[in-house]
Amino acid sequence: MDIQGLSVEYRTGDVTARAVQDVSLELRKGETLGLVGESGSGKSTLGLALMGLIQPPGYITAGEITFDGVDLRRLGSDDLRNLRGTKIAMIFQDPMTSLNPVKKIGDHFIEYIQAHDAHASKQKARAIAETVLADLGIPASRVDDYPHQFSGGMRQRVMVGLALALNPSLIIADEPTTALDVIVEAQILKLLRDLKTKYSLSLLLITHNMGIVAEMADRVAVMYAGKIAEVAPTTEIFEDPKHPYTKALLDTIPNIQVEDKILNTIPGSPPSLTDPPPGCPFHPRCPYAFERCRAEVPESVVTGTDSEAACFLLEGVIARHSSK
Amino acid sequence: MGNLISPLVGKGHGRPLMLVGIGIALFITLMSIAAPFISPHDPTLIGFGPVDRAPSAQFPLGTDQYGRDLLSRTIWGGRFMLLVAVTAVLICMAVGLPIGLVSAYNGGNLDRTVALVMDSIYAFPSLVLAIIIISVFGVSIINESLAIAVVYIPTYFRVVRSQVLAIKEMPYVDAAKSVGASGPAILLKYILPNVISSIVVVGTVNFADSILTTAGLDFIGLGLPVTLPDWGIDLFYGRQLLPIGAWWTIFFSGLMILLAALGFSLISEGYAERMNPKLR
Amino acid sequence: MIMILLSIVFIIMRVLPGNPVLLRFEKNANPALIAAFTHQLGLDRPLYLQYFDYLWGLLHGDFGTSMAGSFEPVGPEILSRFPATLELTFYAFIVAVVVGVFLGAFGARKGGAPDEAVKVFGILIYAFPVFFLGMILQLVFGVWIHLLPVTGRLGAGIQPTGLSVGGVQYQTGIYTLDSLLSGNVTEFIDAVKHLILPATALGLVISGVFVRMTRANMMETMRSDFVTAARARGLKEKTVVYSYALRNAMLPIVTIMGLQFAILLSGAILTETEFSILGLGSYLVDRVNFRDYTAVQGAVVFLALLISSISLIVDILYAYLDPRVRL
Repeated sequence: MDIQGLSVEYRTGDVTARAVQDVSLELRKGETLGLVGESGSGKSTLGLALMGLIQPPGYITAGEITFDGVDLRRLGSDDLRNLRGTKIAMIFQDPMTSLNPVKKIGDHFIEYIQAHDAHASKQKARAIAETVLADLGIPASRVDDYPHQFSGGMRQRVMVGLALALNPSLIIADEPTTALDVIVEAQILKLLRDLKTKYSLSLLLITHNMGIVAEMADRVAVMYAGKIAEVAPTTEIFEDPKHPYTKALLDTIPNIQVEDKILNTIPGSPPSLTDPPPGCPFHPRCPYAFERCRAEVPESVVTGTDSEAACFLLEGVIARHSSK
Repeated sequence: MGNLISPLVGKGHGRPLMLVGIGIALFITLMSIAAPFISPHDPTLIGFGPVDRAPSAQFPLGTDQYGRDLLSRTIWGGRFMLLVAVTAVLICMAVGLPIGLVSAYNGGNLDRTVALVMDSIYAFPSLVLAIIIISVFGVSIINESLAIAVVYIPTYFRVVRSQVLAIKEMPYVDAAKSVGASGPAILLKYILPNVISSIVVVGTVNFADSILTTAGLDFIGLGLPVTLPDWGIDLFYGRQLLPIGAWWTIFFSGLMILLAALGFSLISEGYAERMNPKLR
Repeated sequence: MIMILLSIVFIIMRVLPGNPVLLRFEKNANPALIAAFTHQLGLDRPLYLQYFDYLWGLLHGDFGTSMAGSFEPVGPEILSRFPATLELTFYAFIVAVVVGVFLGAFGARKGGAPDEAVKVFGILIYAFPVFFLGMILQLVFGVWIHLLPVTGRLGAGIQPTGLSVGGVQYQTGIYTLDSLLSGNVTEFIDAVKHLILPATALGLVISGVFVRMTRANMMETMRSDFVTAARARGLKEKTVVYSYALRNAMLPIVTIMGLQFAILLSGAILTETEFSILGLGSYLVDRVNFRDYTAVQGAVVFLALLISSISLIVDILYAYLDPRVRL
């Protein structure tokens, strides 16, 4: 998938919040791309936008989303609907509220399968549901149970199952484990890894947890205040972060081996999305900020074979690299 | 107190509704108060004008079957209803609020018992309850007000109680208790201000409902003494003229009842919307 | 809770006024007559015995005896009047739910100006005195345009029929039902025609509550995660709105159905009076105006029992609709 210049706004009353601003990103086939950022960085909005799920008062105001050669923004609503689930699927954050409380689990699957294949019989759909659930470690007998009868971890597995039932090629997982405890989280992540290998999936993993990213992602994109701050392969992000925000973010992770007296934090708070400061969005909190940062918005610059970052400091870096 | 005034100013969703409601309510209240001065004729004079006459220049709203001028009757007609409504609401607040506050705050079996009784009354159709009270105690302004109040007190009680129960568990109440604040003080300082906005919403709905119930009682024949001008009574009598198509006998009075109820309902909805962001 | 209701009725009607017979006769205070009445009605017995009689009688279906002079039991009269009220409230309820839910859902989905209009409609229609609305409908559709009948349940000359079993006619008293059971199409059409105006008037007013609740619930539900998740699976918008959003939004509304029935009954009293329908509501009004207190008590008690039963049925219905409650 190729995203070019995507912008999403939320308009309520007289204020407009620019949740995603001019984001360009590439999702490569078969890779896991981790999308990190704090709450309010726009990462969830980006995920929803890719599936065309932005509803008023939210609007996509600019950009192209090209998937398998098709510009998703130009698709009619029916075509888009057909795409969802069959080519791109989404897993949501809170398994407690992501399933319809009055529908049996099996019915979720059957309805879903029949929505995309009018000829599928109920029995056939049910069989698929049972197979998928078995794949996930849920006994077939539970197909007739209701969501509230499952634990959080099992519900998330159901969500994963639903996402995979029609064999999509891309899965967008929006904070899939945030609402789960660490043990269950480990199980779900392992599940995702296994399924990804088994079915050759591409995965967009949206999270605020750097630990998950380290474990799962091939490449990492860092978002801040609706913009992409840095994109790089995972090892590079952790070993040699270029953007000041990425550096600060990594600094905040407590190191279990070192006895820190004080936890590191990033001073200040994220900027308002309705009234952003001019220039680079991170400059009020950036220890390296200088005059230019306050006035201009930095464009993404290439910083390595497969990485880029949006910071004025890096223009010197390029000069350094290119001189090597 | 700021809570009461702040919804009136500032932009936002419920404001037009609320202002329209206030406008209507004000219009009707002023009209009723000023009735003796602005009414062109005596509304009780039988045979003042020709009988059953449609609206005309002389009698802009027509006359009823007793030859009474309907314009005057319409201007005068709201007084008793408003009086009953105000009395009922005041009684409700005076009774329902303290009972709700104290019962909910103290909790325990007493609270549960009171709540059970209140729920039982709450489940009862208001008009039926009003009917049996009026039929037994007779018709008068105070009786009507009491009947309506009895019907509505459970609503106040419930609303207040749910708020109190929620706030009671809040950490800042515990904090206050830990520095030695007494029960009544906590009630007054912490709980009451939060409860006030709910009371406004319930109070205005109560008012609207009271008007409709009073009109209903009039219509059944359990209303105020029949010689007095009253919108409900007009409908009670005007009904007899419907088969001949004399629409004016019921239309204006009915419209006024509707407007009165509507005005206060709008205030209630508008206010509620301002206070509750979820509805926007 | 039923007990509390019944006790409240007893207190208001027996205990507080002292001797209801006195109230009945007021000015014509012929002591001998009063004494006779009082004795005949069992009102001179000690209060606790009266209370016991009252409850015991209810268990046996005895709703008291009329004070109107003939000392007839009130029960049979109530039962004969009840079906009309049941029929009216049933159809009015359907109108209220259909109008209310669809308008509410429509407003919630569309947003903007249509939504505001729906909201205002909900407030406006509920503020309408039901008998006023009834009068307007009668005027327009009955007097000015002679389209529908304005009073009663059946036209002159049409007899209510019932299901014939072995030569005996069984009637429920619900004309629309009976005529269907007996196959009498003329009666059915006539009964329906008579029901249109009153059921519409009552139903529309009550719909106000449903409109507002549905709208509010829908707006919240439409924003919930499982709705977005459903869309993410590519389900048709229609499915998402009805099977996911509306279905869940309706649940809280069912819980207040019992209450709505009480309001419906209040409205039915007024509607029956307006449209001259001989139902329980008009019976109550009638008896009150005649100061037949024991009959009034009987009717009110019946209504209280009715409401309690409906509440119970609603609770059971809710358990069926919401799987979370069942286990």
